Amino acid sequence: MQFLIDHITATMIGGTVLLILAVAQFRTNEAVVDQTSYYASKKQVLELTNMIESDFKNVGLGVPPGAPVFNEVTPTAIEFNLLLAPGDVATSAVRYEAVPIDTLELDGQSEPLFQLRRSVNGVLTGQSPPRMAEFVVELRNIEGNPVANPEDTETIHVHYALVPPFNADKGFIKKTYWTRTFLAPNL
Amino acid sequence: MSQTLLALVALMVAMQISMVQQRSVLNARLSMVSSEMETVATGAGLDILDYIGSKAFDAATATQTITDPANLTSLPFATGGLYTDALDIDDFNGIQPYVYSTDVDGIDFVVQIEVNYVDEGNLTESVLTPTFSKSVTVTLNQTSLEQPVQLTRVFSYP
Repeated sequence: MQFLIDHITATMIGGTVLLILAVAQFRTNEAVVDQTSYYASKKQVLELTNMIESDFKNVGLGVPPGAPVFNEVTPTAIEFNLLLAPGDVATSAVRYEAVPIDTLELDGQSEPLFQLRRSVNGVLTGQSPPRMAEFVVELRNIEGNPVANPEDTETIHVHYALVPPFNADKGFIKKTYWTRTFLAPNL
Repeated sequence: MSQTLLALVALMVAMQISMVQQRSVLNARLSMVSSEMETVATGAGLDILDYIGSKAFDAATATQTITDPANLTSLPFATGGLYTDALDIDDFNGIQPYVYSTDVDGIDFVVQIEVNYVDEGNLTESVLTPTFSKSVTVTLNQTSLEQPVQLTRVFSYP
């Protein structure tokens, strides 16, 4: 009888130890995936920022006085004119549009995912990963208040968030943000 | 007796491993939060620097063109003003702590600003006499940041 109790006790202790180690290993793996996913997302946000910044800082560059700078401003799209390269003789129409691609369950709610597409004179020239969860462009005055008339724009507020590429619904950080307000010296 | 001790040791080692792992996960998460905050703080800091750059270089240059730096505001710059009341770059020096609100989940930063004249031949060196270059250092702080984010930009006249 004593022999049996010893074996049962040893098995329980061994099982407990193995369970603790297995859980620790599982959580370590989860944390590594979480971190890798977050930093991949952050890298993509910063790359996207590089593309966006050079356009938004130069909105209206080279546009003749009196000619419209903004061709279209909607909650999901903005199109504006500027000289893209120093040697250009005519301005180009640069368009950013958030196109719905998919949906994702985040915190129990279904959220749409977009892909931000950049086109120049109607030709697609760049795009974000198809995991943009938020995209906001707002034309504002210098005090930061939205303007009704695009011609009154002094600053352009851009805000977006990307969802990490793996385990987005279970990850610790579910969105990676970037937010900037550009002074538009050419407006 | 020795079997019991060995079993206890095994449990303690397993628990120790588990605690180390938990601490490691916690540190990784804190690091991610701090990294995320730094990204948002950098955007906010650049916005603030852009806004400061939109103001006149100096009270003396707001209404006229000057060629002699001796006509610029002399040191020490006034302190204790409000961010929203500043009319030229040095008015931002030592402002009362300003709360900058972002539209990212209600994250706010406490902003402090320091303005100095810098040597035009060496823009990293502060000087005590007026020059046509001012360095502006914006410090953003928030409880989730491991350390404050500091951004410096030099503005020159004309």
